[in-house]
Amino acid sequence: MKTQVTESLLTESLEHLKKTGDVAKALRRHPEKAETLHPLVETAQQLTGYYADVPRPPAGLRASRVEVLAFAAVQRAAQMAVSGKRSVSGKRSVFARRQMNPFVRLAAVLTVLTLILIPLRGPLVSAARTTLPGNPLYILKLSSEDQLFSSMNEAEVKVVLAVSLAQERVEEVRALVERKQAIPVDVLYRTDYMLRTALMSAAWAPEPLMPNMLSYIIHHTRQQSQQLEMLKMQATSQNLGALGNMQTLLLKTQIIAMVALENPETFRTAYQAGTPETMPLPSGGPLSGVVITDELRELVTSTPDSFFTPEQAVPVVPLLTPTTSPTPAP
Amino acid sequence: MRTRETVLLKRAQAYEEQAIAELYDHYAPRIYSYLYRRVHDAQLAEDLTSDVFVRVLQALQSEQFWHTSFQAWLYRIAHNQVIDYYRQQARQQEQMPQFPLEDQLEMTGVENFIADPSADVGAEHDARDAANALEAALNQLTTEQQQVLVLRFGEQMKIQEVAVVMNKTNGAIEALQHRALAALRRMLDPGKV
Repeated sequence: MKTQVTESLLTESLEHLKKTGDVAKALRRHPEKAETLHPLVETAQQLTGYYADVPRPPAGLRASRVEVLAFAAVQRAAQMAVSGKRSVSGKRSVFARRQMNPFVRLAAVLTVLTLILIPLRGPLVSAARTTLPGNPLYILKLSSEDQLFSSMNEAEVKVVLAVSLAQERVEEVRALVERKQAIPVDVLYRTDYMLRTALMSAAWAPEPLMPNMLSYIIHHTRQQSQQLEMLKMQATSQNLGALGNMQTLLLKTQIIAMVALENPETFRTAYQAGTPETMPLPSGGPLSGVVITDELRELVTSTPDSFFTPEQAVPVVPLLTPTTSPTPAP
Repeated sequence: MRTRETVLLKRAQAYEEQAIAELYDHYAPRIYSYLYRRVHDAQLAEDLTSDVFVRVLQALQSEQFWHTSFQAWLYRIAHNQVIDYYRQQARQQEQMPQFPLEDQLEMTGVENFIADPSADVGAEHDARDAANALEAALNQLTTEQQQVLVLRFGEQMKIQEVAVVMNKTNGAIEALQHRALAALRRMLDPGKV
């Protein structure tokens, strides 16, 4: 009972502390308990000051916002894909609109469902996603990804999907490294294609959203690069070159996105015109922590073909039609 | 519950972008602040913020609705995210070598921050050290004690609001608050409580 009284008096004193900000004033109403309550009220005051110090979120919550909205967009698209309902704009979803091979359709729906069932940056574990290069079903998987991609209308959703599909390539690379299998160059081409598609889509995003998109790309490509760095410890010497190449592709994307954040108009003009190589790259400023060497500058503007040097090249597995520099549709 | 919020949540249930964006813009800053106060890492707090909203969208689909307050429900989901995060961390730590409690305390450096009654604390430590001391002491509290302190002194909630978030009675929250402050004070200043 005595404790309960103290607890209630403490609450009352804390309410006074909130109003006055003064420990002595907060304790004035119950002088008989002041000695007991004083250290507790004082600690509460200390805590209030401590908790007031909250730093601004790193990307101003933009990356997080985009992720939530993209999750919703993928869910929305999946609902339409599975049910074949008309979309909000009145168009039928791609799965309902086209006469599709049933296997492709199944794979597409599986991919959509996989995207729903997992967090966007989480581990990719479903059966549909464990198909690796070399498996006859792999081409189906890529086809279903393309179908899913073409069913998306909003540029911002395309950015997120492209980054997710680049993540899918990272997961494939992880599986290949763990199995001590060579990383086919097609995986790298496909990654490069997805990353360039992400940038291209960001350039077509509505103006207020573009910085969000670019922040999202930077955040996730940085994480992907870190994941590859971890893989290097268990990679065979044959795969080390491919991992390094993939990291450079990710770094290249990060640099372009960082430059684009600083010069959005230049970025938009260059990418919407389909001439990304015309985007000038400054040597400092926004690229703090990234040293822009001549070599790196060249990489940023190079095509994938000129990027893979003979020393770094890995055996090509003739599984797919080579995806040499496809130009993503805006 | 407010009508406008109800309408927004209904629209969010259908994954309507504008409604979700509106809910996010309104609640995300305070959820981020709450999460930062629990995990002390801005990047992690931002990541967990998006996880909270994704969970909300998933829960809306499965009809796991709140009963009294959407805001309280959000804080509850945020709290669960923090618990999940620390569980994952603990699982990873299990794979590391185990040390006796005294050694663990020594490794976390908590005893460096606990005041020596014979020393003049104010003169020896600057504000940063005091904050570190507080953080180290807070980490020694139970999860519930930490939660009640963050909600009361970080989020500035009333006892009744905290009770709704934590699904307890007002009396239980008052008791928890009392115990948490006393435990914290004992760690920070062992001679005075």
